[in-house]
Amino acid sequence: MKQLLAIEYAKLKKLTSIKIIFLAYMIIIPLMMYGMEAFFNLNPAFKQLLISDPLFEFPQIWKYTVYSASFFNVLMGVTIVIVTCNEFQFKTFRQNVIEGMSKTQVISSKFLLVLLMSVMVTVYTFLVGFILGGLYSGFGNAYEGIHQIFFYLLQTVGYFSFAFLFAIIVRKSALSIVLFIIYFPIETIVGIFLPKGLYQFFPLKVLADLTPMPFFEHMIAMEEKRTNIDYWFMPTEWKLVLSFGYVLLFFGLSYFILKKRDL
Amino acid sequence: MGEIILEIKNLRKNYADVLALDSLSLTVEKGQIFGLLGPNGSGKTTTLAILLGALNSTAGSFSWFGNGTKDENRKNIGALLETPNFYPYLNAVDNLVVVAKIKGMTDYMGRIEEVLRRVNLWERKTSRFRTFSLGMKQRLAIASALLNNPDVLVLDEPTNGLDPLGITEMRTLILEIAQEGKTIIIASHILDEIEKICTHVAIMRKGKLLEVGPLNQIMSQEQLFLVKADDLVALKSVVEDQLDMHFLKEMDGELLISCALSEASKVNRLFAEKGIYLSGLREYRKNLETIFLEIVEA
Repeated sequence: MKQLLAIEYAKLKKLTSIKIIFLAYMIIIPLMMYGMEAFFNLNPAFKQLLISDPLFEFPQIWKYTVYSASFFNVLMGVTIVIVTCNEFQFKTFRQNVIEGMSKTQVISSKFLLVLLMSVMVTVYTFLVGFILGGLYSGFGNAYEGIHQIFFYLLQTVGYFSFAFLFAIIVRKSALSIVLFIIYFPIETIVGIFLPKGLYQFFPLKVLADLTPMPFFEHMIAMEEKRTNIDYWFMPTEWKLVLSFGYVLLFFGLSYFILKKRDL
Repeated sequence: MGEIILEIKNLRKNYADVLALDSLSLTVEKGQIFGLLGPNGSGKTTTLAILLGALNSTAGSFSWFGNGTKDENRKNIGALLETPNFYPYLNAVDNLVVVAKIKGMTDYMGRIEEVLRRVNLWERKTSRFRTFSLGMKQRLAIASALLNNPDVLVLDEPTNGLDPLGITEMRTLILEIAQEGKTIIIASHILDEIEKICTHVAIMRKGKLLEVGPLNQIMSQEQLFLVKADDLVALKSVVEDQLDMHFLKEMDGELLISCALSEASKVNRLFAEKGIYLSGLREYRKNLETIFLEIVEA
């Protein structure tokens, strides 16, 4: 496993585009958090909620951080597409096998890369939440609600493994990226026409719902009160199990396809 | 018989409805420079790709080093298959580092310098692969194939894209490597190339093996003759009984034979002594290209 990661590192350490995308991610997360807070402040409906749940204080900061960041871990999936499609484009998957890797090793080294990059993204996201939370409310109860970070990790692995599956199937960088990105609105549009509740089982919906808007529950409660309708929302445990299931499915399909196909 | 390096049995490959490789069987022994000859589309690259794990075969089997199809085997094989495949954004050294890690080498920097010097790329060691000319890419691929000091080299069209000087250098390099006792399997449609370096050849067409054997037997360092007699069967059996004569093929009612005797009159006398009177006897141009064309077009 260590050797496989060493190989991946040797391949990627000088890939500038990845470094730039990571840097962009690092800059945009805090910007996004301040930007959205400003937006909520300008919006009377949200402003009311902000007073009861200050966004930058523990434990609310965790929800807020992962929610803000979850717009961009999707985009980080693009890096997975790039590095995977590169291997097809440069015929280096084939070359790696010729040089002595097994197909299983070639595939698992990319799985490991997906996991490692998810961890890197999550660790940075954790640091942003931890530092901002500490600045605004001290580190006293910093670990309250920290499970949100684990939800975020699971979500990131989910998006990345989904991106990986796209790359494996399509093999062309630009096309994979476009298809990966337009899949999101397609899923939402299809969801609109399905019976209520069913849409919540869709892969990206399940993953996205791991990090809902910080005061989502308040808003729903208010809405239910106003309309007198009970909405059904998937329990968190279900989301976790389903997300795990989808990750396994994406990896499993990728493995099956690559194993079967000639390189 | 030398130590068997590679054994192929009834290897087959279908692409959809195209039969790319039809029950190929052959054996390569240690120290041979084994040439795989055939026109474009004859299945050479398909064969090598299967042997190197890049393609799945439809049927049949092969075994490297008497050790089956294990992935580990390939760490002891240096290979150049079709185009040189490297990461364009990495320089020569970094690309070889990736290969060294895949091969499981430790302490590889010295060896990287050695192989880069050997193919004259050391001065360009920090240039990115994408800036290389085709010839340099090809040489980097050779350096990469030599990196782990493997027992076997598999080269697919190794002089592709090289200029005349590069071709000569490549040929010298291959012969040097062969002298180190390594086994080399080389696929090419450039007959001149094969003729100058190979000890053994296999000739393929449309996925079928047409001829296989030592080069001197196939193309004959000896003289070639086209002989004809009223009783071709008897003629053929006489040829096959002679140690210094080889039957190559039948062409339009004549037999193409190779022969240690260089003069037509002696050949004529030899057959007469065996009770066969030739109705036709003529010398045949002797080079691999003619042999190849005859065999392939038959």
